Amino acid sequence: MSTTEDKTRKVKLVTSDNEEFEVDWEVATRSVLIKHMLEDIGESEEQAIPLPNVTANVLKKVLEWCEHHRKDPEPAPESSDDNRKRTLEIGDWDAKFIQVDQEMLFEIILAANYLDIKALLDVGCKTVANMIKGKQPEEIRKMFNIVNDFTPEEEAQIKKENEWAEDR
Amino acid sequence: MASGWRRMVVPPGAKMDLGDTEREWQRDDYLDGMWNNRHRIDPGVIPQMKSILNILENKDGFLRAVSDLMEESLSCTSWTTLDGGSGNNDIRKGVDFWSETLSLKRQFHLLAECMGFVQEETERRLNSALLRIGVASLPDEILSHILAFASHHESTSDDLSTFGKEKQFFSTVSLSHVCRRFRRVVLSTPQFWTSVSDSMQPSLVEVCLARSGAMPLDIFLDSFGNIQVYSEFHGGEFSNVLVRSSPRWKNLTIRAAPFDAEMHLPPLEIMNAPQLRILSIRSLLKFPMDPNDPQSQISICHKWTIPRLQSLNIYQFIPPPFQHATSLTNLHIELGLQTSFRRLGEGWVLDIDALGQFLKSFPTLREDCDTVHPIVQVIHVISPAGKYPFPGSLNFGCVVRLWGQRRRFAQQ
Repeated sequence: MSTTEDKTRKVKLVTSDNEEFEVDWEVATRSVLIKHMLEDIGESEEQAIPLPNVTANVLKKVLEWCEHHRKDPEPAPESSDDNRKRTLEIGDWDAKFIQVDQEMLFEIILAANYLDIKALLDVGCKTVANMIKGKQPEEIRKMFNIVNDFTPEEEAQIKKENEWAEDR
Repeated sequence: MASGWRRMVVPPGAKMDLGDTEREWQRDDYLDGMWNNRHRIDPGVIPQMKSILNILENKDGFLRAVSDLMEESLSCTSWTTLDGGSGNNDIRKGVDFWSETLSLKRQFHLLAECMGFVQEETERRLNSALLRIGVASLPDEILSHILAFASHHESTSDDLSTFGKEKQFFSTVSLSHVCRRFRRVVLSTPQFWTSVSDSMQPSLVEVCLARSGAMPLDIFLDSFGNIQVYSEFHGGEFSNVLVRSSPRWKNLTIRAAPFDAEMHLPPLEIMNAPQLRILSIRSLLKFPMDPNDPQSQISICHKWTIPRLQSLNIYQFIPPPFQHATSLTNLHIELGLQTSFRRLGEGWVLDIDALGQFLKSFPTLREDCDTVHPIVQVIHVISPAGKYPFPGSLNFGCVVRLWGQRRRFAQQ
């Protein structure tokens, strides 16, 4: 639970390319990783949090998301048999936010995963899922420029599985 | 498909008036060449190609300049002499020049279109490459997360439909056919295979039961209203196979009339589902239970062991007292609208005694429980104490209070 002192506190973050960001505690702690690190280092305001897996341009984008969602309630802990709705809907702001080039999209997903920002990870994953959803395997291969690398045995099994749909 | 697909490409030296067949052949030949050599395109050339195109197509660009120059040259050719011979020569030269410039102009335009197509195609392939590299950089757990979103079938207005579950199954199977990595991720993630419906082929159900490992299952039974259509489920070993998985059931949705005899036949009559948390039952028919009809006393699930049931959703009927729900915290009753009954108009004929007896089954529910969401359009109440007409809607709180006043509701 955050206190009033926490909310006025500033946090220093250092990226892999040695750029330093000073952000509000409330913004930084959208990341569970940073939150836990802050808990570990205690009240030491001067100590910067190193983020060796995130570059400055990606962190800037991630912090933009955290700033917008700073007041959002904390997500419920995930259970092992998680049954949350897997809707592909993305809020208007998030949809605009995630309109970035492919490289940045995947950088954001990886950063959200590393920083443990579940809601942002979902936004990124849903964006990629929306590109895939409803497409046939061949269309997905073409879209991702990936080759069909199945062995003949696997091809035979796939052919058999395709018959399931035909038998319906 | 790229818009450039329809564009025509004329190789150097080709004649200009190509017939349709020849033009098609040259276009296809070009595209085949493009496709076969796709890996040779250097993505770095895209900005240069863009700038070349811009230069060519710009108002002051090369193509425009050449075209304008030729038009201008044509208009400046000497047409002024009136003495016969030299005039004819001039005209011949002029026509030749006009023809050449026109030909050149068309070739330049075709070249620009060709480059535009190449640029679009290269850009598409660059995006594909970035997508491929991006996906390749993701760990399996994130790819699994993405594929779970992609295979999820959004529920329609009818949440109890099994159609969506079957569609979800085939979406998952389809994703496993993309490449070896997708297949490995999909097949090794049990969560993809936890939805099972009796409308699926027995072999598919067995696939789900095997691939879901020990994960809790979401079961959708849609067959009780129409067992002829689902003869495979009711005719053989299939239902036994499914019922054997009942210790893993977490969410069970049944579409059946409350007195469907098939529900009371082995193996469904007695069942052990210790993990079952959510049970939803929708009656296919819309009419009140007749307390004098012994058949209506039959109710599903009465011999089931479901000690952890937390949420019970009832649609279109009021079951008899429910003896197994000691940990129930969420009750949803939705009776909906019923067609005209004894000229009383649309609404539900509520048997207040039956509802009271049913509600008394849940000692963990409180009168002011926020988690109870009945949608009851009551037009008439049947009760031994008399008839209570309720025009308009009646909410759960009213029913409980009414029951409390008249019958001393168990929780008061």
